[in-house]
Amino acid sequence: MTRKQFNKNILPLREKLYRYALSITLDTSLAEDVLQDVFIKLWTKRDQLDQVENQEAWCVRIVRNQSLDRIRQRKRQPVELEKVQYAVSAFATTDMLEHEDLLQQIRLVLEKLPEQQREIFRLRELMGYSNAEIEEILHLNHSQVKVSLFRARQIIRKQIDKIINYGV
Amino acid sequence: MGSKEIQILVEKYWAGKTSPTEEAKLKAWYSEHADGTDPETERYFSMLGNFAKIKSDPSISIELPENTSVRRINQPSRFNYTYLSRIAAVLIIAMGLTLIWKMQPNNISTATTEEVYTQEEIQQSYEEAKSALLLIASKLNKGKDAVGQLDKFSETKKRISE
Repeated sequence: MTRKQFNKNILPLREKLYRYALSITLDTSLAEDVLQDVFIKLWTKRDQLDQVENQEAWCVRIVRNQSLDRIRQRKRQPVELEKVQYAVSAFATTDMLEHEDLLQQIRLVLEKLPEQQREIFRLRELMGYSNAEIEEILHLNHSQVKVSLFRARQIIRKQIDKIINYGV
Repeated sequence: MGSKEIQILVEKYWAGKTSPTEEAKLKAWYSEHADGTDPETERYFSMLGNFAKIKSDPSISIELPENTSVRRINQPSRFNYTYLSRIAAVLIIAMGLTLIWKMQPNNISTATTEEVYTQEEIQQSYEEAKSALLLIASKLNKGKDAVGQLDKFSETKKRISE
Protein backbone atom coordinates (compact mmCIF):
# COMPACT_ATOMS: atom_id res chain seq x y z
CA MET A 1 0.00 0.00 0.00
CA THR A 2 1.43 3.36 -1.04
CA ARG A 3 1.35 6.52 1.10
CA LYS A 4 -1.36 7.87 -1.20
CA GLN A 5 -3.57 4.78 -0.73
CA PHE A 6 -2.91 4.83 3.00
CA ASN A 7 -3.97 8.49 3.20
CA LYS A 8 -7.08 7.73 1.17
CA ASN A 9 -8.25 4.48 2.83
CA ILE A 10 -6.85 4.41 6.36
CA LEU A 11 -6.37 7.95 7.63
CA PRO A 12 -10.09 8.86 7.23
CA LEU A 13 -10.84 6.21 9.88
CA ARG A 14 -9.06 8.39 12.43
CA GLU A 15 -12.19 9.78 14.19
CA LYS A 16 -13.97 6.44 14.25
CA LEU A 17 -10.94 4.64 15.64
CA TYR A 18 -10.38 7.41 18.18
CA ARG A 19 -13.95 7.10 19.46
CA TYR A 20 -13.59 3.35 19.70
CA ALA A 21 -10.33 3.70 21.67
CA LEU A 22 -12.09 6.26 23.88
CA SER A 23 -15.04 3.92 24.48
CA ILE A 24 -12.59 1.33 25.80
CA THR A 25 -10.08 3.46 27.69
CA LEU A 26 -12.62 6.16 28.75
CA ASP A 27 -9.65 8.50 28.88
CA THR A 28 -9.04 11.13 26.19
CA SER A 29 -5.24 11.29 26.48
CA LEU A 30 -4.91 7.51 26.56
CA ALA A 31 -7.16 7.24 23.50
CA GLU A 32 -4.93 9.75 21.65
CA ASP A 33 -1.87 7.67 22.54
CA VAL A 34 -3.60 4.52 21.32
CA LEU A 35 -4.50 6.22 18.05
CA GLN A 36 -0.90 7.31 17.48
CA ASP A 37 0.41 3.81 18.21
CA VAL A 38 -2.20 2.19 15.99
CA PHE A 39 -1.49 4.39 12.98
CA ILE A 40 2.25 3.77 13.25
CA LYS A 41 1.54 0.05 13.52
CA LEU A 42 -0.79 0.17 10.51
CA TRP A 43 1.79 2.14 8.54
CA THR A 44 4.54 -0.37 9.24
CA LYS A 45 2.19 -3.23 8.31
CA ARG A 46 0.72 -1.47 5.28
CA ASP A 47 1.67 -4.29 2.94
CA GLN A 48 -0.46 -6.72 4.95
CA LEU A 49 -3.36 -4.28 4.68
CA ASP A 50 -3.50 -4.88 0.91
CA GLN A 51 -4.42 -8.48 1.55
CA VAL A 52 -7.06 -7.76 4.20
CA GLU A 53 -10.61 -8.04 2.95
CA ASN A 54 -12.27 -5.70 5.45
CA GLN A 55 -9.64 -3.14 6.37
CA GLU A 56 -11.88 -1.23 8.78
CA ALA A 57 -12.71 -4.34 10.80
CA TRP A 58 -8.99 -5.17 10.93
CA CYS A 59 -8.15 -1.65 12.15
CA VAL A 60 -10.88 -1.84 14.80
CA ARG A 61 -9.42 -5.09 16.12
CA ILE A 62 -5.96 -3.51 16.34
CA VAL A 63 -7.41 -0.54 18.25
CA ARG A 64 -9.13 -2.90 20.66
CA ASN A 65 -5.95 -4.86 21.39
CA GLN A 66 -3.85 -1.72 21.68
CA SER A 67 -6.37 -0.08 24.03
CA LEU A 68 -6.49 -3.13 26.29
CA ASP A 69 -2.67 -3.23 26.34
CA ARG A 70 -2.54 0.43 27.31
CA ILE A 71 -5.05 -0.10 30.12
CA ARG A 72 -2.98 -3.01 31.43
CA GLN A 73 0.20 -0.93 31.27
CA ARG A 74 -1.45 1.92 33.14
CA LYS A 75 -2.64 -0.41 35.88
CA ARG A 76 0.97 -1.49 36.41
CA GLN A 77 2.16 2.14 36.68
CA PRO A 78 0.13 3.99 39.34
CA VAL A 79 0.09 7.76 38.78
CA GLU A 80 0.59 10.10 41.69
CA LEU A 81 -2.61 11.96 42.57
CA GLU A 82 -0.91 15.34 42.87
CA LYS A 83 0.35 15.14 39.29
CA VAL A 84 -3.14 14.34 37.98
CA GLN A 85 -4.70 17.29 39.82
CA TYR A 86 -2.03 19.61 38.43
CA ALA A 87 -2.64 18.37 34.89
CA VAL A 88 -6.41 18.88 35.17
CA SER A 89 -6.18 22.40 36.58
CA ALA A 90 -3.57 23.51 34.05
CA PHE A 91 -4.97 22.13 30.81
CA ALA A 92 -8.67 21.35 31.32
CA THR A 93 -10.99 23.10 28.86
CA THR A 94 -14.80 23.25 28.74
CA ASP A 95 -14.84 20.59 26.01
CA MET A 96 -12.68 18.30 28.07
CA LEU A 97 -14.90 18.67 31.13
CA GLU A 98 -18.00 17.95 29.05
CA HIS A 99 -16.25 14.90 27.65
CA GLU A 100 -15.38 13.78 31.15
CA ASP A 101 -19.04 14.04 32.20
CA LEU A 102 -20.14 12.09 29.14
CA LEU A 103 -17.48 9.45 29.68
CA GLN A 104 -18.57 9.09 33.28
CA GLN A 105 -22.15 8.38 32.12
CA ILE A 106 -20.88 5.79 29.63
CA ARG A 107 -18.69 4.21 32.29
CA LEU A 108 -21.74 3.76 34.53
CA VAL A 109 -23.66 2.04 31.73
CA LEU A 110 -20.77 -0.22 30.70
CA GLU A 111 -20.10 -1.26 34.29
CA LYS A 112 -23.51 -2.95 34.41
CA LEU A 113 -22.81 -5.21 31.44
CA PRO A 114 -20.90 -8.49 31.20
CA GLU A 115 -17.79 -8.46 28.98
CA GLN A 116 -19.28 -9.72 25.70
CA GLN A 117 -22.39 -7.56 25.96
CA ARG A 118 -20.18 -4.57 26.80
CA GLU A 119 -18.10 -5.11 23.66
CA ILE A 120 -21.18 -5.45 21.47
CA PHE A 121 -22.73 -2.40 23.12
CA ARG A 122 -19.62 -0.33 22.31
CA LEU A 123 -19.63 -1.35 18.66
CA ARG A 124 -23.37 -1.05 18.08
CA GLU A 125 -24.52 1.81 20.30
CA LEU A 126 -21.43 3.96 20.45
CA MET A 127 -19.88 3.22 17.07
CA GLY A 128 -23.02 2.47 15.04
CA TYR A 129 -21.79 -0.76 13.43
CA SER A 130 -24.37 -3.21 12.07
CA ASN A 131 -24.73 -6.71 13.52
CA ALA A 132 -22.98 -8.19 10.45
CA GLU A 133 -19.98 -5.88 10.97
CA ILE A 134 -19.84 -6.75 14.68
CA GLU A 135 -19.87 -10.45 13.80
CA GLU A 136 -16.82 -9.91 11.61
CA ILE A 137 -14.95 -7.73 14.11
CA LEU A 138 -15.52 -9.99 17.11
CA HIS A 139 -15.62 -13.31 15.23
CA LEU A 140 -19.03 -14.15 16.66
CA ASN A 141 -22.04 -15.68 14.96
CA HIS A 142 -25.32 -13.92 14.14
CA SER A 143 -27.35 -15.22 17.07
CA GLN A 144 -24.59 -14.48 19.63
CA VAL A 145 -24.52 -10.83 18.57
CA LYS A 146 -28.32 -10.51 18.42
CA VAL A 147 -28.93 -12.12 21.80
CA SER A 148 -26.10 -10.23 23.54
CA LEU A 149 -27.33 -6.91 22.18
CA PHE A 150 -30.90 -7.65 23.26
CA ARG A 151 -29.78 -8.65 26.76
CA ALA A 152 -27.57 -5.59 27.09
CA ARG A 153 -30.50 -3.34 26.21
CA GLN A 154 -32.73 -5.16 28.70
CA ILE A 155 -30.21 -4.54 31.48
CA ILE A 156 -29.96 -0.85 30.58
CA ARG A 157 -33.74 -0.48 30.32
CA LYS A 158 -34.23 -2.04 33.76
CA GLN A 159 -31.66 0.39 35.13
CA ILE A 160 -33.44 3.35 33.55
CA ASP A 161 -36.84 2.12 34.87
CA LYS A 162 -35.37 1.80 38.36
CA ILE A 163 -34.16 5.39 38.25
CA ILE A 164 -37.52 6.63 36.91
CA ASN A 165 -39.71 4.64 39.34
CA TYR A 166 -37.62 4.45 42.48
CA GLY A 167 -34.95 7.11 42.00
CA VAL A 168 -32.21 4.49 42.50
CA MET B 1 -40.37 13.18 12.90
CA GLY B 2 -43.06 13.44 15.61
CA SER B 3 -42.75 12.34 19.23
CA LYS B 4 -45.30 9.53 18.68
CA GLU B 5 -43.12 8.08 15.95
CA ILE B 6 -40.15 8.39 18.30
CA GLN B 7 -42.04 6.51 21.01
CA ILE B 8 -42.65 3.65 18.59
CA LEU B 9 -38.96 3.64 17.64
CA VAL B 10 -37.96 3.62 21.32
CA GLU B 11 -40.11 0.53 21.98
CA LYS B 12 -38.69 -1.12 18.88
CA TYR B 13 -35.20 -0.25 20.12
CA TRP B 14 -35.68 -1.91 23.53
CA ALA B 15 -37.04 -4.99 21.75
CA GLY B 16 -33.81 -5.12 19.72
CA LYS B 17 -35.58 -4.66 16.39
CA THR B 18 -34.21 -1.33 15.17
CA SER B 19 -31.68 -0.92 12.39
CA PRO B 20 -28.52 1.19 12.87
CA THR B 21 -30.16 3.92 10.74
CA GLU B 22 -33.22 4.05 13.00
CA GLU B 23 -30.98 4.11 16.05
CA ALA B 24 -29.04 7.03 14.57
CA LYS B 25 -32.37 8.86 14.13
CA LEU B 26 -33.24 8.25 17.80
CA LYS B 27 -29.88 9.53 19.00
CA ALA B 28 -30.10 12.62 16.82
CA TRP B 29 -33.68 13.37 17.88
CA TYR B 30 -32.98 13.10 21.61
CA SER B 31 -29.82 15.19 21.28
CA GLU B 32 -31.90 18.07 19.87
CA HIS B 33 -35.43 17.65 21.28
CA ALA B 34 -34.99 16.97 24.98
CA ASP B 35 -38.21 18.30 26.60
CA GLY B 36 -37.91 16.61 29.98
CA THR B 37 -40.95 14.31 29.63
CA ASP B 38 -38.83 11.17 29.92
CA PRO B 39 -35.53 12.46 31.33
CA GLU B 40 -33.75 9.11 31.73
CA THR B 41 -34.51 7.88 28.21
CA GLU B 42 -33.58 11.33 26.89
CA ARG B 43 -30.33 11.24 28.82
CA TYR B 44 -29.54 7.76 27.57
CA PHE B 45 -30.07 8.50 23.88
CA SER B 46 -28.48 11.94 24.04
CA MET B 47 -25.45 10.31 25.71
CA LEU B 48 -25.15 7.91 22.75
CA GLY B 49 -25.73 10.76 20.30
CA ASN B 50 -23.17 13.04 21.93
CA PHE B 51 -20.56 10.30 21.99
CA ALA B 52 -20.83 10.02 18.20
CA LYS B 53 -19.94 13.72 17.95
CA ILE B 54 -16.68 13.44 19.88
CA LYS B 55 -13.63 14.19 17.78
CA SER B 56 -9.98 13.64 18.45
CA ASP B 57 -7.77 16.60 19.33
CA PRO B 58 -7.00 18.22 15.93
CA SER B 59 -3.76 19.69 17.28
CA ILE B 60 -2.35 16.19 17.62
CA SER B 61 -1.21 15.15 14.18
CA ILE B 62 -0.48 11.59 13.28
CA GLU B 63 3.11 11.43 12.14
CA LEU B 64 3.99 8.53 9.94
CA PRO B 65 7.68 7.70 9.63
CA GLU B 66 9.01 8.63 6.18
CA ASN B 67 11.23 5.67 5.34
CA THR B 68 9.84 2.76 7.23
CA SER B 69 11.04 -0.49 5.80
CA VAL B 70 8.28 -2.99 5.25
CA ARG B 71 8.87 -6.71 5.26
CA ARG B 72 6.59 -8.37 2.77
CA ILE B 73 4.48 -11.36 3.83
CA ASN B 74 5.98 -14.73 2.87
CA GLN B 75 9.26 -13.04 1.96
CA PRO B 76 12.22 -14.87 3.45
CA SER B 77 14.16 -13.08 6.09
CA ARG B 78 17.25 -11.18 4.95
CA PHE B 79 19.38 -13.32 7.25
CA ASN B 80 20.06 -16.48 5.26
CA TYR B 81 20.15 -19.38 7.70
CA THR B 82 20.79 -21.99 4.95
CA TYR B 83 23.95 -20.18 3.93
CA LEU B 84 25.04 -19.98 7.55
CA SER B 85 24.43 -23.71 8.12
CA ARG B 86 26.56 -24.56 5.06
CA ILE B 87 29.47 -22.53 6.41
CA ALA B 88 29.07 -24.22 9.81
CA ALA B 89 29.10 -27.70 8.21
CA VAL B 90 32.29 -26.95 6.26
CA LEU B 91 33.98 -25.64 9.41
CA ILE B 92 33.00 -28.73 11.43
CA ILE B 93 34.36 -31.09 8.73
CA ALA B 94 37.61 -29.11 8.51
CA MET B 95 38.05 -29.20 12.29
CA GLY B 96 37.35 -32.95 12.37
CA LEU B 97 39.93 -33.67 9.67
CA THR B 98 42.54 -31.56 11.47
CA LEU B 99 41.87 -33.41 14.71
CA ILE B 100 42.22 -36.84 13.04
CA TRP B 101 45.45 -35.74 11.36
CA LYS B 102 46.92 -34.57 14.67
CA MET B 103 45.95 -37.78 16.50
CA GLN B 104 47.85 -40.02 14.04
CA PRO B 105 51.40 -41.17 15.26
CA ASN B 106 54.06 -39.66 13.03
CA ASN B 107 56.49 -42.71 12.98
CA ILE B 108 54.04 -45.47 12.07
CA SER B 109 55.05 -45.67 8.42
CA THR B 110 58.84 -45.70 9.08
CA ALA B 111 58.90 -48.42 11.79
CA THR B 112 60.16 -51.92 10.65
CA THR B 113 58.95 -55.32 11.93
CA GLU B 114 62.26 -55.89 13.81
CA GLU B 115 61.81 -52.60 15.65
CA VAL B 116 58.26 -53.40 16.77
CA TYR B 117 58.49 -57.18 17.63
CA THR B 118 61.18 -59.33 19.35
CA GLN B 119 62.96 -62.16 17.49
CA GLU B 120 61.17 -64.74 19.63
CA GLU B 121 57.72 -63.34 18.70
CA ILE B 122 58.60 -63.39 15.02
CA GLN B 123 59.78 -67.04 15.25
CA GLN B 124 56.62 -68.05 17.11
CA SER B 125 54.40 -66.42 14.51
CA TYR B 126 56.36 -68.15 11.75
CA GLU B 127 55.87 -71.56 13.41
CA GLU B 128 52.14 -71.03 13.85
CA ALA B 129 51.68 -69.92 10.27
CA LYS B 130 53.72 -72.94 9.07
CA SER B 131 51.66 -75.48 11.04
CA ALA B 132 48.43 -73.89 9.78
CA LEU B 133 49.62 -74.13 6.16
CA LEU B 134 50.71 -77.82 6.65
CA LEU B 135 47.26 -78.66 8.02
CA ILE B 136 45.60 -77.05 4.99
CA ALA B 137 47.97 -78.93 2.64
CA SER B 138 47.21 -82.36 4.22
CA LYS B 139 43.44 -81.77 3.96
CA LEU B 140 43.88 -80.60 0.39
CA ASN B 141 45.71 -83.85 -0.57
CA LYS B 142 42.93 -85.95 0.97
CA GLY B 143 40.34 -84.10 -1.11
CA LYS B 144 42.47 -84.49 -4.19
CA ASP B 145 42.49 -88.32 -3.78
CA ALA B 146 38.69 -88.37 -3.69
CA VAL B 147 38.56 -86.29 -6.87
CA GLY B 148 40.96 -88.85 -8.54
CA GLN B 149 38.49 -91.66 -7.79
CA LEU B 150 35.70 -89.65 -9.37
CA ASP B 151 37.83 -89.24 -12.51
CA LYS B 152 38.25 -93.04 -12.76
CA PHE B 153 34.46 -93.48 -12.40
CA SER B 154 33.68 -91.01 -15.16
CA GLU B 155 36.32 -92.62 -17.45
CA THR B 156 34.72 -96.10 -16.98
CA LYS B 157 31.23 -94.64 -17.62
CA LYS B 158 32.51 -93.13 -20.86
CA ARG B 159 33.87 -96.53 -22.08
CA ILE B 160 30.57 -98.34 -21.39
CA SER B 161 28.61 -95.78 -23.32
CA GLU B 162 30.98 -96.13 -26.32
